[in-house]
Amino acid sequence: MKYNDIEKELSHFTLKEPEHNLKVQVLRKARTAWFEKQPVPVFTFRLIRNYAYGLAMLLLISIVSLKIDNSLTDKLIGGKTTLVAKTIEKPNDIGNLCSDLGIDCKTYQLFANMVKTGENKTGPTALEQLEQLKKEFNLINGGLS
Amino acid sequence: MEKQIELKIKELLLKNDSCALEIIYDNIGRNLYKYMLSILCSHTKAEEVMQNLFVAIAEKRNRLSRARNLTSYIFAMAKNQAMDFLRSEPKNEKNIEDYKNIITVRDNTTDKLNDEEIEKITNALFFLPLKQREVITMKFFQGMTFEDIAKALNISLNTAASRYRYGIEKLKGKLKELGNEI
Repeated sequence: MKYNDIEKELSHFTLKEPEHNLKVQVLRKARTAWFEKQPVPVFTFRLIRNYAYGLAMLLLISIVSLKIDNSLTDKLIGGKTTLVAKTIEKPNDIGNLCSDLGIDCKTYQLFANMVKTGENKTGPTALEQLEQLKKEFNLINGGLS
Repeated sequence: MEKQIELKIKELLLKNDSCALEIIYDNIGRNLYKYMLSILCSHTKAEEVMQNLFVAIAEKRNRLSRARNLTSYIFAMAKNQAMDFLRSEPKNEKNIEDYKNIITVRDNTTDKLNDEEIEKITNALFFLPLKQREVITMKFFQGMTFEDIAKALNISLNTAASRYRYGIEKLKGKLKELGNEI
């Protein structure tokens, strides 16, 4: 025999088929393995709902703790915080502020009035007035500046 | 395996539907069996490894659903399973008699081959390197195209064709060696 066309000769051959129906046997074992090893779900509706509940609970706790913290702070330094709020609300009432703080602030009152009425064109310049106020303040407060 | 079937299988795997196993078997089961048979040279061993392979497919379905090329992934799994099986055997050397037991002549063959010719071709095939033999086996005994072979073995079309060409050349040489003129 001549093997000039080996490909033609090879085409006469094949591999034997399995001796019995392998499909049923193979699939039965594979299905058993499939159901035995169920994958752990990463995200399910129940899991997402629990995460949401957890987050809501944390938010609630943080809000409540913030409220408690604020009320305790108010109780401890309530007077002072009220005072500060008052002064901030009425910045022009310098007299009241100075009396509350216990300092003589005549100079500041004068300066505030000057700013309020505007610069006097005929009188001394703003710089001269400021220098004057500074001297007065130094005299009253014993040269602090 | 066609792209659409692969997508369908991946979809079923993601849905955790065991019908994916049946679709895999129906599409490539026969080729997988013959592929393992060509490596293991025994029906009993091939059946056992085939079962192990499908159990592995069921267990590693999450990885399988992410595989870029499902067919080559499964064929690679099959090869690994077959090689592991061979390594686990105390005596893993295959002999020519085992190989003769798995090869047969097609029923519809018009040119009748005598027993001597069959034996010579079988001998020549047995002595081919595994990589060349698996391509020739897939091409002739399983009727796969080069494209299918390349896809299954995760090699390029050129590599599949060259392995086939070198295999055929070696086969011719071996037959010449065995006393036949070419």
